[in-house]
Amino acid sequence: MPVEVRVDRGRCRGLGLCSGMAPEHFRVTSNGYSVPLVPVVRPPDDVALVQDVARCCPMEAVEVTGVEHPVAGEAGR
Amino acid sequence: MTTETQEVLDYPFGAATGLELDPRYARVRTAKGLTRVQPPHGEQAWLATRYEDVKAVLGDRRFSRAMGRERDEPRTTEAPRPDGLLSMDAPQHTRLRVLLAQAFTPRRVELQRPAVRAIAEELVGAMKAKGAPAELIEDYALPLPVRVICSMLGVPLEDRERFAVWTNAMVSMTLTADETARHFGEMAGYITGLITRRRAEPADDLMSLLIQARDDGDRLSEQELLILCVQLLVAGHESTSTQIPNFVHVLLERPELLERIAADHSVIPDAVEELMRFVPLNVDAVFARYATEDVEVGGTLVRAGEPVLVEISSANRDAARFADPDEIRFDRPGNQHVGFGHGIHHCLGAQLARLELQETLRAIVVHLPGLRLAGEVEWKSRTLLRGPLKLPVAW
Repeated sequence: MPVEVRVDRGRCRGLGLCSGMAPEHFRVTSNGYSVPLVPVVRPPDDVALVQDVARCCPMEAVEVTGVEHPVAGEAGR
Repeated sequence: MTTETQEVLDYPFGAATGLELDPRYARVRTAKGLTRVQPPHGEQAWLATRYEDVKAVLGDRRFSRAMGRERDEPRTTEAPRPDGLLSMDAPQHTRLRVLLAQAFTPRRVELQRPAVRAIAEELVGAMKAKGAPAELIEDYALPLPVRVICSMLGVPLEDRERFAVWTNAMVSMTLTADETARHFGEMAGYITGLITRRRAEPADDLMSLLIQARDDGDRLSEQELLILCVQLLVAGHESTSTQIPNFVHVLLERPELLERIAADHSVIPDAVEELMRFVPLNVDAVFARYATEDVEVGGTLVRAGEPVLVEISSANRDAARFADPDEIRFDRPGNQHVGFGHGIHHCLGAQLARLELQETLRAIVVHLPGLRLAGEVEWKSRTLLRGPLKLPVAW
């Protein structure tokens, strides 16, 4: 089941756990906040990884939610 | 890029007793490239002291902690650091961290605020009942975090004097590797006994949660279970019990800051962040990161296999990131200090430490107005963390 990945800017402090654990999925930008690189993730291993990242985020800023009808063209890597 | 021939400085810079950051950090921060250093034990290393460089190394997956286990790591202690979360890289590290992270999220930790406040008030109440002077570390700074972590982990509080000895050994710079290993062995034996008991009688604590993850899910090995419990107990109180007297000492030297907190409790969270930035808790940079390939950092090409030490206290005083870095300002916008580290090893217990430090400042301004030093402050020496040995106070 594909998932959608978001980073809550209000919570994120750019602590770099997400980008260290999953550099293919998150990047801390030069302004000090994390952005998701793959908005919709499909491969099961990658889904498990971004879910682990969401659990580990010290600020609870990474949100991973199920996508019922994923938008065509946003396929995960 | 810097050239191959470079001056090698002895490291750490000075004895680092007290909370003054050695002036050499300010000098090397403005020098070109990384600094080459030789610590008392282990191999030569690069030293990163600038905010951007420290964050770059800590946040980059091309730098490994696990590689240090096969190498003679640069360090101040004769014994290498014990294995634990901090000696692992992703994905092994992620597998273990995810088991524990849920217990330390902001929401979960916030639920503990009333309990932490009650302990803080009870300890301060006992100090007042006994009458001044009090010794802040023994009477408050040690028992607060010890009681919190014992309750979370499921360690009997009555054993605190036993594990205090082992904890002190973990942060001592003077023990031989054999002595360190003996203390660690005794602590491991003690924790193994607790795990056996918890396995028979599970409870609502972190040790039971980890045992379940091991026995029902096979998500960690028996050795990992043991190491995590040891690490949670030590890391769960040692740094906070040292940082509390550091914070209090800094504030007692600057009564105007204490008055600001007393006048408006809403500045407490910002005050804790700023003090985390300002106070250099570590004596020196520890836990070297090894380059797994050639990586350019701050104008130096770090070759594959070379270790880099990162000095977070220096990064927190970098004028390129923080205006007037040696001043304490509670109103710094976007205070993204690295006092709890950065990257995958960012302090697991950061939120809990924040809570304990916040409740400490609150307890002081509410219940101990007029707090002052009541004698000479003697500082720890030859340990990995800076802090007062004793902090006599009156009110």
